[in-house]
Amino acid sequence: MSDNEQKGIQLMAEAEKKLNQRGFLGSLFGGSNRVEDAIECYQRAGNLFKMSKNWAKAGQAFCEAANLHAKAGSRHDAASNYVDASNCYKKNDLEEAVACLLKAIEIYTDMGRFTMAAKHHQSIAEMYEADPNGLERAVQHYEQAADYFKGEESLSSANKCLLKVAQYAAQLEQYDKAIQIYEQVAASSLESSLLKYSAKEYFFRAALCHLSVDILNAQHALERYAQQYPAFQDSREYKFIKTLCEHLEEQNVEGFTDAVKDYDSISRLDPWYTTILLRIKKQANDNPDLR
Amino acid sequence: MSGHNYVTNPNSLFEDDDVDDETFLKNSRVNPTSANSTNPFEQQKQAFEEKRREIENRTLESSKRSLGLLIETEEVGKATAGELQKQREQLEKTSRQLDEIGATLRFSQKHLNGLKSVFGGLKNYLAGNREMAPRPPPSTSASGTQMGSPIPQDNGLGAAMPISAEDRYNSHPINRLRSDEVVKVQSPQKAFDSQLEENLGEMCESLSRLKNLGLDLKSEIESQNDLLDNMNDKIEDVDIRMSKQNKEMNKLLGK
Repeated sequence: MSDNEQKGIQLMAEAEKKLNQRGFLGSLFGGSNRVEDAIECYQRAGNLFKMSKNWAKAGQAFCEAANLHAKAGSRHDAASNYVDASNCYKKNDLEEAVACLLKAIEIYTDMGRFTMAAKHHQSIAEMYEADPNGLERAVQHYEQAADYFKGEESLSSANKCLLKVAQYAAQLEQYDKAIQIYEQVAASSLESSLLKYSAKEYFFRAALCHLSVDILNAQHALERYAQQYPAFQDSREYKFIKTLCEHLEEQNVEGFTDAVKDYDSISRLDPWYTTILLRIKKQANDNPDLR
Repeated sequence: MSGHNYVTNPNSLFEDDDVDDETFLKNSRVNPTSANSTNPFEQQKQAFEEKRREIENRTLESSKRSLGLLIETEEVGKATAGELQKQREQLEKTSRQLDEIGATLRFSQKHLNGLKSVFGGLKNYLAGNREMAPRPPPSTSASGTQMGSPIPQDNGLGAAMPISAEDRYNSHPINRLRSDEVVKVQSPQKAFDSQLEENLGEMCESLSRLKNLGLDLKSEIESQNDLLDNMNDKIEDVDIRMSKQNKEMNKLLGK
């Protein structure tokens, strides 16, 4: 056991002792002082544990400090200590980290700091993102974050979260939801002179989602997108989708693969596109006569 | 439906290219036997053809690569634009909060003055504080509209740019060349040409988009600079007032 760790444990014990003493004294003035001392001890212990990389203990220390802060009525400090705790827990215990962040979020929403709350929702979602089974929960938290961001008028952050929602929704085969979000985000980015360049990509993604549901719908959607954003018609993405539609109509799976390969040779397709395209291809293979 | 026609072309071009390559390869295998090595010119011609094909392939490859790079650059530019937009939102928010701080400071100054003149007015101060709590931030709306004004200008600029760029693009010789080229695609030479032309055309489009993006980024950064200057003034004002009040409070407490 390292030096730092031992010191940390001593400090924790000291803090607990101080807390217990308060009961005997009972006086209001002395009591609050002792709580503050205890909080400081916990925080120092937490930092020492951090140095010795004992994340679980560090998280525990910060959590204690946060609890005391909450009792003492300084909510902002409590929230920031919860965040510290979750940062420590994050290293090895996902559930604990999330629980701490949720407590922090509760405090922030209570105080009306929705931007902070949204940011923490986002970090929870990012934690779940890394976990293959946590996608659905990640989506939930991203949605919550987007809602809060929207309420605070930070539209670009909200859109960023929404795009994540759409991306994972598509991966979870909730295409309708993904399409709706992509169309909405594309429409809002068309209004900004800076963001209109990205609209193309959102339309492309929406069209791909359409394509994995139904070809006819995809073609209608493409026409609609071209009307909404005329420059989309000249883009490589538009042409690519058009060729894909044709190949699908002719049941030409090889042509489909070639078109994808051709597109990929110029601009790399990331795993998301690959997954969706593979699904479309598989669908075309599975029910060749259904159209 | 011009876009539709346009799409089918590259594919058919590709097929054309492949078929022609095959026949070409066959020819190259057959020709030396039929014409034999008796004809040195024929051999030389063959060698040149080979070289030409090599160069053509390389050119195509390099044009493809450049196109890929251009698209990557555009991705980066788009991401930058997104971040800039976010920064603007944050700057505007900060500026609004600064206004609020300024308003709060004005009230606290008032209270301090009250404290100074009549020390017994402590009660008044407390009551006043409670009354004043839900004060409307007066300068917020004014600064909001002030800040909003650069955006429409940007839009105007952004809208004007693509049109002029498109006009220029349409009148560009490459475009005319390309439309000529698409019509007649027979020999492998033509297939190569049109393929290259297409890539070059896309590069041109991509470049013009990038240029517009760059211009938009520039104007956005300029307007954000103005915003920052504006904020700097406000912060200095608040700083001065705050240090003054701090001094006054110290005086009051020190006595």
